Amino acid sequence: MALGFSGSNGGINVKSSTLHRQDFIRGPLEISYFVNNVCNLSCRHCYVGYEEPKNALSVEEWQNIFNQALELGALTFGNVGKEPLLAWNKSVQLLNFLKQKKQENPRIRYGLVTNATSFDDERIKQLIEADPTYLDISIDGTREIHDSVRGFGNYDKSLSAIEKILCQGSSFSDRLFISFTLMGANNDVSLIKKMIGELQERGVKRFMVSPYVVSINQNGKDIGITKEQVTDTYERLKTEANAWLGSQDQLLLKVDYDTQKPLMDLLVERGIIELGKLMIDDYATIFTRFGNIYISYIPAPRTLIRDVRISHDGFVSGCYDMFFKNYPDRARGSLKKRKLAEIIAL
Amino acid sequence: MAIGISGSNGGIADAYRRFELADIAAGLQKYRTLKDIAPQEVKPLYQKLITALEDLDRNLKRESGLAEKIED
Repeated sequence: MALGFSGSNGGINVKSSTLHRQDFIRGPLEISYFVNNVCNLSCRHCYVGYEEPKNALSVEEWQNIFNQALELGALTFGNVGKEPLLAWNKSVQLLNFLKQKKQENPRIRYGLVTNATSFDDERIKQLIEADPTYLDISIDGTREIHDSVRGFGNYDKSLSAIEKILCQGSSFSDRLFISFTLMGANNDVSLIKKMIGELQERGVKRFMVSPYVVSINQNGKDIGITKEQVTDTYERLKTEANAWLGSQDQLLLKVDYDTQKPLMDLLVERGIIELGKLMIDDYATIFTRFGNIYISYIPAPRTLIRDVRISHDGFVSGCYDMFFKNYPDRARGSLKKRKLAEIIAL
Repeated sequence: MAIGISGSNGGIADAYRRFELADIAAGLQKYRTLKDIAPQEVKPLYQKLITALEDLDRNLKRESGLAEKIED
């Protein structure tokens, strides 16, 4: 789904006739699924503690689960891991399945989150044909910083994929998001500006910042960041970043309720999120907007109420539970044994 | 990979409007009703949602100056 709005820069495109009052607590469901539990990188800030790589669901099992989710009103399906390109055949089959569902219901959005280090020309061609609503590619800074976190040489691999995708799929400029994890190692607004500039030169228009949460793995202890530091950076980005962004660019600053509510409260306290200026979109996403900068706001718990995380082997829980090795023990249930409707909270 | 929700989801949709106190009021009405009729084991979750909405309602009114008017 494309960000942005029709017309020129400035102004809010409010189509109020289509925006009835909706339940912003419960729906529509957002499904994030792991198609596998392996990755070709060992990023220092990876939060996934669950290690079991076996027992992955088949394409048919996933399709059945997606159909269940659609019956429950799910509209968003993100293939978020562990690294979708390492199960590419399955990933692209599922993208194409959702593409077909989207033809039946245009509100469905489906996408992929990837480190983009394993794309080749054939895969890019298949990706473009699958026509995902969005594609998140993880870049954590300029080359030096990115590679210090993700491994030497990976910035160039990801950048090469970004260039090819934007070259071959011109419509992707509105749906390719750079997913930047804000942590101690890259918490420098001037370097963030430099990174954005380098990517803009390649045609990137969409940027998303997510604050790092130190996980149980503790591999990234030295790259941790406090909520005060995140708030300071968000404040500076809110003040300065509009000057760097093109008229059709977007910068999304994310927060998470379950793991970062104190951060969100601080952003409100400091006036970076102004409650009196909150907006709500067609998918019940709440946010504030300052020019081309959007800051998400989550007023209530979401896990298993709106957000459903499904592991590669069918366990259902929330993102935070995946920090832990014993994810199945923490999970609400297994889709190999029960229906989704029986497992989710409400 | 992105923490929390499934990555960007594609960002903010094209169509959006102001989020209002009436949205919160509608949510409170709904979840208070649902809590009343919910099985015992689910009531705490509904209460969590209700508490979050009440906090938001209070904070939004305070920020917009409405809280003072109401107290008057």
